[in-house]
Amino acid sequence: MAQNIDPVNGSNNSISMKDGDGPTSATKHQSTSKRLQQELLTLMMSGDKGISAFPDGDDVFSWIGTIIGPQGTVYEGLVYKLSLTFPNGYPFTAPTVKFVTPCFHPNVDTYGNICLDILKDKWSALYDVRTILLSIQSLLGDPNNDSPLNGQAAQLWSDQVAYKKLLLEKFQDTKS
Amino acid sequence: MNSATAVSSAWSYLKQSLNLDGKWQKELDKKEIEICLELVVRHDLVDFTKELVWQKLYYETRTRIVPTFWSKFSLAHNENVGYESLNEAVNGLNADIAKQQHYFSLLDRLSGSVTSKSFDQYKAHLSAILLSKIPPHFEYSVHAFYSRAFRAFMSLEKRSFNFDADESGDVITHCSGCDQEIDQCECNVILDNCHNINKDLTELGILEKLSVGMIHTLILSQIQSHVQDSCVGNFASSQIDMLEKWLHSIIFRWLGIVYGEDYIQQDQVRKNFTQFLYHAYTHARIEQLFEIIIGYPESFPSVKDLQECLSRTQLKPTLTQSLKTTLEARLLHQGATTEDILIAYVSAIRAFSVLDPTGVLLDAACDPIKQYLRLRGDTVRHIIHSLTDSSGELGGELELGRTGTAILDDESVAAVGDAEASTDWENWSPAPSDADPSKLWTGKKPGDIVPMLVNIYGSKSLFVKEYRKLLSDRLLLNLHFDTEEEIRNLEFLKIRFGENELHNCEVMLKDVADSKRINTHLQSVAHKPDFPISAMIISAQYWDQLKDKPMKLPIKIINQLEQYNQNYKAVKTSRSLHWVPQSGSVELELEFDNHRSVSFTVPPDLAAIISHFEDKEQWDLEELSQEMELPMSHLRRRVHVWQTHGVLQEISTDRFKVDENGPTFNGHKILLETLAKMEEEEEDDDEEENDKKPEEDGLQIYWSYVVGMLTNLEALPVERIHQMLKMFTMQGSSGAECTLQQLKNFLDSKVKQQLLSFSSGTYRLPKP
Repeated sequence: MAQNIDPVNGSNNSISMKDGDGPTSATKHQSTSKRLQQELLTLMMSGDKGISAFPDGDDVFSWIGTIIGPQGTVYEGLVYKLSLTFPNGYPFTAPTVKFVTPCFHPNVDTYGNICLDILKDKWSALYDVRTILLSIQSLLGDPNNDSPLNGQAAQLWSDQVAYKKLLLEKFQDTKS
Repeated sequence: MNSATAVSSAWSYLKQSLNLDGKWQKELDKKEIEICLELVVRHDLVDFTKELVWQKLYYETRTRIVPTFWSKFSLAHNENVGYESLNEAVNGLNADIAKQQHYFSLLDRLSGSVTSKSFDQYKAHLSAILLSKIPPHFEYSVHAFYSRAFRAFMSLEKRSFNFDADESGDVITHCSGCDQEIDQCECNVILDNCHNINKDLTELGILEKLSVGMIHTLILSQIQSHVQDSCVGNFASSQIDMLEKWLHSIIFRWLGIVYGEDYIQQDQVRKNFTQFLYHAYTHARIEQLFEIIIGYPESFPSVKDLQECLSRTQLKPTLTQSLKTTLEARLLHQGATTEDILIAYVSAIRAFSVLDPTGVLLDAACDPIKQYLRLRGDTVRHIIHSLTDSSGELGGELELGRTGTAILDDESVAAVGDAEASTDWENWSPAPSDADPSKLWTGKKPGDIVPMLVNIYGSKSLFVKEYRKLLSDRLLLNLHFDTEEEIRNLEFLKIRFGENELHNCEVMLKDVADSKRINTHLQSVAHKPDFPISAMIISAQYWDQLKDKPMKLPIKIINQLEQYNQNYKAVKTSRSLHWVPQSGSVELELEFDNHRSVSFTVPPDLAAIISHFEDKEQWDLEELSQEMELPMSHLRRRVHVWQTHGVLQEISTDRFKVDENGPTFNGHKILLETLAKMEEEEEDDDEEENDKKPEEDGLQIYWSYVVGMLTNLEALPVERIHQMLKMFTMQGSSGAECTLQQLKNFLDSKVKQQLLSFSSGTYRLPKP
């Protein structure tokens, strides 16, 4: 398809460049959505316990994810919803992932932003929705207290019993 | 005499003679006139006098002559009256004009010209007045007059050809032209009369104006009915030359008689009528197109005719439209069998390949057939059946196409070719102007039947799948491991569909061949079994799902089969056989107490039943049903088969024993057909089940999607789920499209299994 672009008009690409997508945005767009559909298929077939995600509506670029707190942690049995937004450059650019359900956690701020290296500088095209969700799930039980977004949570972490009490209180608040 | 009195007396004379004051003087005295004219000239009154005379003449024409003429035409719609009235009117008109003759001579004298210029002037005037006062009903008289004349003409014409005998050889006693006995035929009179009238009207210059519309209508309807007559029920001969000859010999000659030779020598006139002839003929043929197609190739000449006509007329859209309507009314309904529709379709493809080699018409006209066939479940089966059945209508088609060697790829099947990628670009030509612009035109000629038939589905994989089913059925009924015929068919299909698609079928045929080999081997090594076993060993993956209804075989048979299995394991290590007890057949020889013996070839379940009677004399149906693990209703049907053949008898309700007298016939008997019939009935029984099963299997792949969807999006109505599935499931990988209704049924079944909950119109996952 891309080859069909008239070479004479090729110089007019500046028009489409304004979108910031470059001349082959349509192609990329398509390959991205294809990749996301493929990921969806893998995710649906993988049957991982406690993680799940699905496109939330009209296109394949924004998903809703669900994570159940891992067993043996204070988060056990709690269900958190996340939003995943994929840029056109996916998988070469990291998706934006946020908690929709308020989450009391050292590495999650009050707006649901997550501090996780693979979503920032350590992102690689080899990651996919499933690995992202698994990483976040394991982050729940194993926070990185050196760079907290939520100081209270980070401080309290050492006292797991108190932490759990506060966590459940906060979680119940969001429910009601 | 002084000049004043002379003028005044001349004036009064003139007045009198010209009837200017209303009194009519019969004879004009030449002498007096001379004197008058001299006076007129002398007093320079020529123009004034001329004006006076014209005024008088016009007045006369307007108030008397023309109304008299038109009053002759009666309102009555009676051919005789109509005919006579034109006659009378024209004759009357002639007489009236003759009466005005003295005016003309006077006018001519006044103008001093010798030729009757004034008469010509008058004619123009007369025709103007006549035409301005045409009453609406006059046309009927003209029509009556000319149609009678035309009939007379035709009848004379016919007689001059046929010498007083019509086609059946009977002597004509009744003239069709004038409705009189032949001896009193007035045709000649009528025709002569017609000639005269025409001449008079031409003289007046009003013939064409008065009659041209009517005469043309008359001729056109003659052409129409002649074309209809010659087309009815006659497809097997070309008519177009005959019709053109007829047009020249009859119609043009008749026109020549009416209007004179000059008229028909005009190119335009000839062209118009010829064109009309073609139009009429094309219409007639289009109306019969359905019969023509059904009758193809006997109707080849008319197809050829139609092709020629279509190139001259602009009737292609009419053709497609009319054929579509006819097809829908006559072919595409419940009453027609799929086979008939297919035959009609094939016939249409063949006929259209002559009619319109570009294929555009076929595409347009036969679209309803394709769509309809797609709706019928048994279409593929029928196509394959007729293609592989060498004795059938289409038997030769598979072989026929092999010279083409073109493997059907999905692109060509879907009739979507990339024009740029075409290797044959040198022969590219633009789409015909009448092609449907919304469809990509590939320039494919519709000559080859097989791709056209496959095209009904737009995909060959469906086709191949159906073939596999058919092949599996045939192979399983074939107990002699004879595959020559099937291999031949498969090879032809491979040419068409490519090796890959038909790989499964090849494996199936190979299975059969292998089974034959292994059987021979195992039978040679086995220690004398109670009965010989030959197994059809099939690879489950490659064959269609077999109808494996559970049934418990008698223990001695199971033992034998187990023995066979052991032997097999010895030959093929690490493999074992899984028996399908209800498939296959058994050769039986039954010996009865009276030392009669009869042979049967029966399905295994029938054999199993009879084998049970070997051990025990009498069986209750219920008992037997438990023993064999077969449902009562199925068992009863099978026992009934033995009963009708006199092997078993019912001693009391549902209790059977062997009939000692044995069957009433001797020799070998094959009961496999009965099996087919029984299975059909049973299929009807379980139809409900069977229908649902594959559907849900197909939907099962969506289940994890639905779970994923509902886990994340909580609750959704069925429409939304359907829409999301369509959007996010990979097209092609899952393949199975489902309708909203199917999905709803599927989800409801999940609700029943308590895997989903349904409330206020939305589905959600149940709380853990």
